[in-house]
Amino acid sequence: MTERDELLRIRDLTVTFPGRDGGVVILDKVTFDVSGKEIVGLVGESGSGKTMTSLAVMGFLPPSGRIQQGEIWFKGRNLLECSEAEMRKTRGREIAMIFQSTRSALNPLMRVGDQVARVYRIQRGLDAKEAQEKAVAALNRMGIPDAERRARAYPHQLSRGMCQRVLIGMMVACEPALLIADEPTTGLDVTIQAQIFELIKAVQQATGASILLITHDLGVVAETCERVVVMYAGQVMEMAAVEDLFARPRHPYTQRLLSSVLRVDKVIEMPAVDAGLTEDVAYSIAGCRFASRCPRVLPTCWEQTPLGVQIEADHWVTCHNCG
Amino acid sequence: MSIRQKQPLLRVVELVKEFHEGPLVLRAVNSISFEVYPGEAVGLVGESGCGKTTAVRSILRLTEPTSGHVYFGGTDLTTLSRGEMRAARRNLQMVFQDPDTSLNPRFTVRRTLAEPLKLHKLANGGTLDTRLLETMGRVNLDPEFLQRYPHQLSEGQRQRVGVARAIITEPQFVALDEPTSALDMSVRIHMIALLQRLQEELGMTYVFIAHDLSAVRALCNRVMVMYLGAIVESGPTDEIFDRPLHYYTRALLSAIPIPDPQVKRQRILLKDEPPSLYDVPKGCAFHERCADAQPRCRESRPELRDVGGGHLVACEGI
Amino acid sequence: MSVPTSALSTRLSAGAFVQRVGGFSKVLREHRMLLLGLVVLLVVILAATFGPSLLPYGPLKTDPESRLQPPSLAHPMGTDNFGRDVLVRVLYGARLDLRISFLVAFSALIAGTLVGAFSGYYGGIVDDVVMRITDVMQAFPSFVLAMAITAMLGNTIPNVVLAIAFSYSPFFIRLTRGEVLSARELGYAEAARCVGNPEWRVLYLHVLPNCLTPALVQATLCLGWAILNASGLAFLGLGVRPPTPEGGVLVGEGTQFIISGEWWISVFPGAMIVLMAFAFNLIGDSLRDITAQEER
Repeated sequence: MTERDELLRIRDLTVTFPGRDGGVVILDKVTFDVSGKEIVGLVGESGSGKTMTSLAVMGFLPPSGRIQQGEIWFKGRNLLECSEAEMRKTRGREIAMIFQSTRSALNPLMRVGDQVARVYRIQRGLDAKEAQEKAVAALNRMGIPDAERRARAYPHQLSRGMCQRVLIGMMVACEPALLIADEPTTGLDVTIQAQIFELIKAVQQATGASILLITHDLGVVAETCERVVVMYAGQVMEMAAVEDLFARPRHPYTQRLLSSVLRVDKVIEMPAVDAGLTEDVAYSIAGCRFASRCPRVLPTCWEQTPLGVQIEADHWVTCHNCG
Repeated sequence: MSIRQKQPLLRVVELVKEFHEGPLVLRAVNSISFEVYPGEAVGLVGESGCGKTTAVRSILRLTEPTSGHVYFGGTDLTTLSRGEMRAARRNLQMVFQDPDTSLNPRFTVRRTLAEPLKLHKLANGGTLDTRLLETMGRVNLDPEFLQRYPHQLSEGQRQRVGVARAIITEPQFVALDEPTSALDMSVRIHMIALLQRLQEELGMTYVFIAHDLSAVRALCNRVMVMYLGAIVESGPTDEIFDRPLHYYTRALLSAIPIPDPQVKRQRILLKDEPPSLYDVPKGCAFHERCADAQPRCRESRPELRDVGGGHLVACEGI
Repeated sequence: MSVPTSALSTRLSAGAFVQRVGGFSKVLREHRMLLLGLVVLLVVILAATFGPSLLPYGPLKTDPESRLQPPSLAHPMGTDNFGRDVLVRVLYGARLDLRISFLVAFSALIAGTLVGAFSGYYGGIVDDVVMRITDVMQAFPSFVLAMAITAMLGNTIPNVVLAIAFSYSPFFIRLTRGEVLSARELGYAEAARCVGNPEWRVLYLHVLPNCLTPALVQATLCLGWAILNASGLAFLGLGVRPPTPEGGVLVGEGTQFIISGEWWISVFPGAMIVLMAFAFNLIGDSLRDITAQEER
C-alpha cells in the first residue's frame, strides 16, 4: 500500500462464525485503507461481508463472531487490541456510524433537538443552553427547514429523510475523523436519496472527515466516491480509484458486475438467462470464492486464495488471472 | 413487445381510491385514466406515496376502488360479483414485491403452484404434474424445489416461485410489483431477462410498478409517471427517459445515480419533501415544489395533453 | 443480510416440527423438562390403561372385611371405607381424568379457534358481538363459571366436559383472533386472494394454519388445568359423583378419614392429580418456550 495520509488500515481481517463443518469464514483476509479526507465506497452484494467489516471496525461484531486474525489500525492504534472502555471513547468522537434503519437509530421517546443537543453535551462538554443552540444550528445546516420548530418534534413525526438528516447532524456534532455510513439511503425515495448524498458530500467538505460508504448501488459509488473497494463473499476482489474501476475493471467479478448492472441512461444487452452471482455462494476455506463462477478460472484458483496484486498506482486486484 | 392493436386490453377510466380514517380522507389515487394494449409492458413509476401500488391493487380489486371503471377485455371489472371476479383472476395475476412474505411459509412450492390450477379447474392429476414441471422449467427452477418450503430457498429462487405462481394459469395480464427491488445487483438483469422471455413465450401484457427506473428502462416499452395520486407524464420509454418534459420527471430522472463516473449530471434538486396525501394541494399537485410554477398552476389541475408521438404531459407550462 | 431468514418463514408450528423426526429428538435432548413431562405422562397413561387388568380387584368391588386397610402388599395404596382397593380406583380415576382433560382441551381448542379465526378475519358486527360475549365470560373466574354451568345442566360427565371447555374457550378465541388479525393483511393472504381463493379458503387454509401455534401451546396447558378443574368440581360434589372413581371424587371420599389417620384414601388420589397436572404443565411450558424461541 502506498504510504499516504492513512486514517484507517485494515490488514488481513478474518472473522469466523460458528456453523457446520467448523464454522463459516465470513471475512477472509480483508485488507484495505481509508485515507484522510476521502470518500471510499465499500461495494458488494448480499453476503459480501461489507457490513460485517464495518461492525468489526466499530467493535460491534455479534458475540458469536470470532476474529481469527488481522489488524485494524486507526490513528496508530490497533482497534482489535483496544479494551471496551477505549473503544467507547473512540466511538462517536473519532469514528461514527450511521445505519440503514433511521427510525430505530433514534430514540423514539426523545425530541430530536434534545438528542442532537445531548451529543454536544456529552462529546463536547457544552452546557444545556449552548448545546440546544448548537443543536438547532446543526439541524439548520443539515437542510431541515424551520429547524427551531422541528427540533421539538419526535422521530415518528418526521419523515425518514428528515430522520436521516438528524442522524447526520448528530454525527457532525461529534466531528469524527471517520464516518461509516452503512447503506444510509436504502428505502428512501430517489429524490430524497439525492438530497442526502449532497448533504453527505457537503459535510465531508466542511469537516474534512473521511467517509467509508457501504452500499450495493454502483450508481451511488460512481457519483459519490473517490475510491472503491469491491467485496464478494467475504473477500476483497478489487480496489481502485473510481474512474479506473469503472473504465478498466480487472477482476472478473467486477467486470461481470459492471456489464450486467441495469442503467437508466441506456438499455443494456440482456444475457442468456441464468442465475445471478449470489446464490449458493461457497464460503470455502481455501481459494478464491469466485472460482465457481469465474470465466477465467485456473486450477490454482481453487487451492490458493489470491494475494493483492498492484496493477497500477492505486489499483489493486486479488486474482491469479487478472488480464 | 408490440404492434399496437386497436383494442386496449385494459382501460382504466377515472379511477379513484380513497382511504377514510375517521374524519380524515386520504386520496391515494386521484382519478387516473389510461390504456394498456396487448403485448405491452407498461412501467408505472413514482416515489413512495404516489399511489402506483394502490392503483394497481384497485384495478385488480385486491382493494375496492372508490369510484371509476376498469375495463378488461370489454368487461367492467368494477361491476363483477365476487364469484365472477374470482373467475376473472385467472387472467389477472400479480407478482408481489416481497418474496419473503408473499409465499405461505407452510406450503411447499408444489402446493403454492398447484393451487391456482386447481381453483380455476385448469388441470388435475397427470396434467397437473405436467403443468407444474413445465412452469418450473419456464422460470429456471430445478423441479426438485417443488418439495421445498420457502425458507429452504434463496431470495432469488423465492422471487421466481412468485413469478411461477403468477404465470401458471397463463394469464393475459400480469401486474409486477417491484420484482427486482429485493434482489442483488447481479441478479436483477436475469430477472428482467426472464420476465422478457416469459412475456414473449406466453403473450402476456405487463404493468410494472417500480421504484427502480433502470429496471423499467430495460423491460418496458411505455412509462407512466405518477405523483401524489395522479399521472403527470406518460409516453414511450425512450421519449420519457431521454426527453422528459414534466419538471417532476426531470427531477426524478436527474436524481438517479448512474454507474459511470464519466457521465456528468446536472442534478435538479427538489425543495422540501412531498406534501401529505391527506392534504393534496389544490391546482397542480406539484406546484409547490416546481421551479417553473406559474400563478395559474395554483388554480386548476392540469389535464394530460398529447404533445406528439404518444407523449402525454399534465402541465400547463409545456 | 448474509443469512436469508425471516421471522415468518422460520416460524415452526407445533405440527410442522413434529413432522421432522430428526428435529424432534434434538428438541427433546435440548429441553429436559419436556422429556420429563412426556415420560411421566406416558407412564401414567400406560398405568391407567393396563394397570387395572393386572390387579385382581375391580374398582367398585366392595369388601367389608378389608375396610380401611393401610398400604400393604395386597393393597399397595390401602383400602377405603368400603373395602375397595384404592390403587385400582386411582388408576380408573386417572383414566377418567385424562379422558375429560383431552376432551376439554380438544373441544375448547376447536370451538375457540374456529370462532376466533372467523371473528378476527371478518371483523365487523360479528367480531364486536363475539368480543362482548367473551368479555362477559371472562368476567367470571373460569372455575366459578364451570361450577355454574354444571349445576345448571346436571351432574354428568359430558356436562362437566362442556362446562369446563366453555369456560376455557374465551382464551382460545382471543388468542386466535389476535393472530389472525395480524396475519390476514400479510403478503401470502393477499396473494391467496389474488390467485382466486374465496375468502373462507384464505382464512381456513392459508391464514389459520399459520396462526395455530399459540393456540396449540395453550391447549397443552389447558390439559393440566382441566384435570384440576374437573377434580375440583367433583370434590365439591358437582359433575362426577361417587361411586364413579375420579380424582376429585376419591379425594372427597377420603376427607373425613384424614383426621382419624387413614390418610391414604385422600393422599394417593391427590398425588395422582398433582402428577398429571405437573406433567401437562411441564409439557405446556416447554412448548411455549420452544415456540417462543423459534419466533425470532
